[in-house]
Amino acid sequence: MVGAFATGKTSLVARFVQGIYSDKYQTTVGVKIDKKVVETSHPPITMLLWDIHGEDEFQNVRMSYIRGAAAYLLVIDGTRRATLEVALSLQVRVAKSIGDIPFIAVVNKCDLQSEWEITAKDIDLLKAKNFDLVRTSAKTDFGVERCFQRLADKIIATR
Amino acid sequence: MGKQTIPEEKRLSCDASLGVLHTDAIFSELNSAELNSAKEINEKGIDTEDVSAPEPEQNRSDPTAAELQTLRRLLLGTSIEESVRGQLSPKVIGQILPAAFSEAYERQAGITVALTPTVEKAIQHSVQRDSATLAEALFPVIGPATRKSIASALGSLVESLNQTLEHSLSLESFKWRLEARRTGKTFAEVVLIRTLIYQVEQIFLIHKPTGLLIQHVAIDQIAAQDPDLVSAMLTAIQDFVQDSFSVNADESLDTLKLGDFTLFIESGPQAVLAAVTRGTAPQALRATMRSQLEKIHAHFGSALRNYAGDQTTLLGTTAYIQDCFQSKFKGKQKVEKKPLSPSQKKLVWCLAALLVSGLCLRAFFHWQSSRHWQQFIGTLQKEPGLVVIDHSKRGGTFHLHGLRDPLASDPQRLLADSKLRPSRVELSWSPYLSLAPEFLQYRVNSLLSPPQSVSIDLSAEGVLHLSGRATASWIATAKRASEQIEGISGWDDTELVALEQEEFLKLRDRIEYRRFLFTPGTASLSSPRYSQTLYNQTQDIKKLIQTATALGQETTITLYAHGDQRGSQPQTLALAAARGQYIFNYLVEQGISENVLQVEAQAIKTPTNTLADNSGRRLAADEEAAAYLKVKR
Repeated sequence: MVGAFATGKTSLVARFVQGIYSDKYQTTVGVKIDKKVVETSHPPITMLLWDIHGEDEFQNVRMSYIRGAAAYLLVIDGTRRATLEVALSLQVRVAKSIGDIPFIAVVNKCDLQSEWEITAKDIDLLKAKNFDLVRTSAKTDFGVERCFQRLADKIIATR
Repeated sequence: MGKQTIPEEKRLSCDASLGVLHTDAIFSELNSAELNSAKEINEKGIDTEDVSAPEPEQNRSDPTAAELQTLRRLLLGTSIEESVRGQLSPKVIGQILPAAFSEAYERQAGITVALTPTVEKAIQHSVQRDSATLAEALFPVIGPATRKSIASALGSLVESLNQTLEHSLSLESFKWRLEARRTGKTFAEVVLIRTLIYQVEQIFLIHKPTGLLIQHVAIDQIAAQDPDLVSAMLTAIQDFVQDSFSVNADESLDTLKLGDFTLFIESGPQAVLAAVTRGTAPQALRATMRSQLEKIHAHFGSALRNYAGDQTTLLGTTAYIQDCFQSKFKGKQKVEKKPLSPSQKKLVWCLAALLVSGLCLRAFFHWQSSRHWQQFIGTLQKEPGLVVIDHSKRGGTFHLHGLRDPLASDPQRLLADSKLRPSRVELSWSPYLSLAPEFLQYRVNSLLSPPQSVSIDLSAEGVLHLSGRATASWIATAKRASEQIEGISGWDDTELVALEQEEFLKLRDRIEYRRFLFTPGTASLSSPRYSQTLYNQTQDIKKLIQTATALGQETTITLYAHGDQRGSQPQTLALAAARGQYIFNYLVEQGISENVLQVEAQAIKTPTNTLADNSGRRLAADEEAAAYLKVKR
């Protein structure tokens, strides 16, 4: 899980793994690891989810945490356009660090669609970059299962 | 034409066949007869085009063999020796050698063994030629390796020293010293063996590049966390430490300690071995882990490189990991107990008997001292003026607290009389006043200090019964004092006689007994001896007045004087008055107050029966008239 701070990475994992959501914001320090078995068309795969602290002006995402990853979710906060910029820069850094591995761009907080700063134009831009996009809401559980499922399928496809 | 004339398709097939040759095979090929014959051919300058070369003698005698030879030449265009030689040009070998090595390594077909002597020779040669080259190459490796080795050795030494120091003064150490003597080992060895109490609880084999778990083995009793998560988290921690403290890439976290747990981490290029141990794990465990990790790398090199999370591909590693568990048990079983010799057995029995009898004695003494203590408490409780509030036994010493009347017996003396050791008894007392009859009696006696003539009895109700004789003043003082004594509720002096009272009665009797006789018809005493009697009477009256005063009483003395009946009534009365006046005057002259004296003259004759004086003699004829005194209170 990579992305800017407070985009909802931890909430997505909590919703996906434990099925819970909390409005209380707790910043992640370092990395938090969870596990979930995902069914695929092939034998099920066990996902070890490294929920990495968000990137902000004080600390960059450590690339050592990315090393060895099979795939990643690039999380964007729909209500803050700046997080899109961070995601784009992160994607470049990750690709440079560990090569082209499967990833999915997740635009989170779609329960707050009315407050979104990300426009249709931005979405088109991402699509033009050939990004795989999924809209989610950790709060309403919208698209959460789907984004992880699609990531699992992508991993299987590369093997 | 020469070597270049070999058709293309033949060369390819030869390439392919060489591709699977192993190095030793290549060497053996090179040494083969074919190669030799190829050499010969070369030396003899035989043209490869010359197909009509003279046949060997034996072939000529065998038409079939000759035919085959011809057929071969016709088919291959030249001899096999020549074609092989053509293929083994340095250029071709150079091209295929890396691929050949790599293939041989993948198939684990002993290439390492085959190459070892050559590599050793090469290194030897290199050192002989110029040792500086190799030294320079090894320099960056030798430093860290030496440091690590020294640090590890020092770590073990410090650990062993710590353990030795920790245990050198304990009860255990005594046992170990005996064991060392018996088994012929040094004390330090025994300490080390006996203190290696640790348990490897879990072992993780982690894929280093991805942080994925390869194998996890735990002892049965352990409720382990999800090993996948632990493995990932451990990798994250390693990353964190490396990132945070800008250490060299080849340095990594090797120990984590948390309370009783120690996590030993050994890193290899492809895998990390982490052992969770409880207790004081020895450094030897680390050495075992290192060697097992090396073996895992040696045997599963390619599987490790290609690992993508499928644990079944590396199931074989479990055997190596298990060895890390086993190594812990070896340490524990090292000390074998030698059977005891008969004399040792005797000694052991003697010691055991001594121990048992010692224990019995101890129990007996304990029981006895408890019994003595209970007896002592009983004695104290019976003793008046001592009250036991509470008592206990703490750490071999008896403690007692109670109340003590100052008049009570000395508890220390009672303790000395008991069978307890005074040093093991601690007594503490608070003062109080006991109302026990004996103490009341004592206090009454000491406060009232009665004269010997008085005896005092104390009733159960606290009433003092006094009897005997005492001065009036003592009685008054004692009565007041008795009211101040706590526990005394009454005063009964019915049987107590004041000494003054007795004296008074005696004096009164004496005074009233005396008779004074007058010469008939006169107011003068009939005999001079009455003068002495009168004097004595005066002294007694004085004493009587004094005694009455002491008793707080007032006294009056009436003087009765009689006339005789020889004359007329008035004459007789006048005579009686004169006689009374005579004695009155005498008494007053002698210093007796007039106030206490009354005179009563009576014109009667004193009855004869009352005239008997002290001697009891009959009255003479001239002694009819009389006077006497009566005391009134």
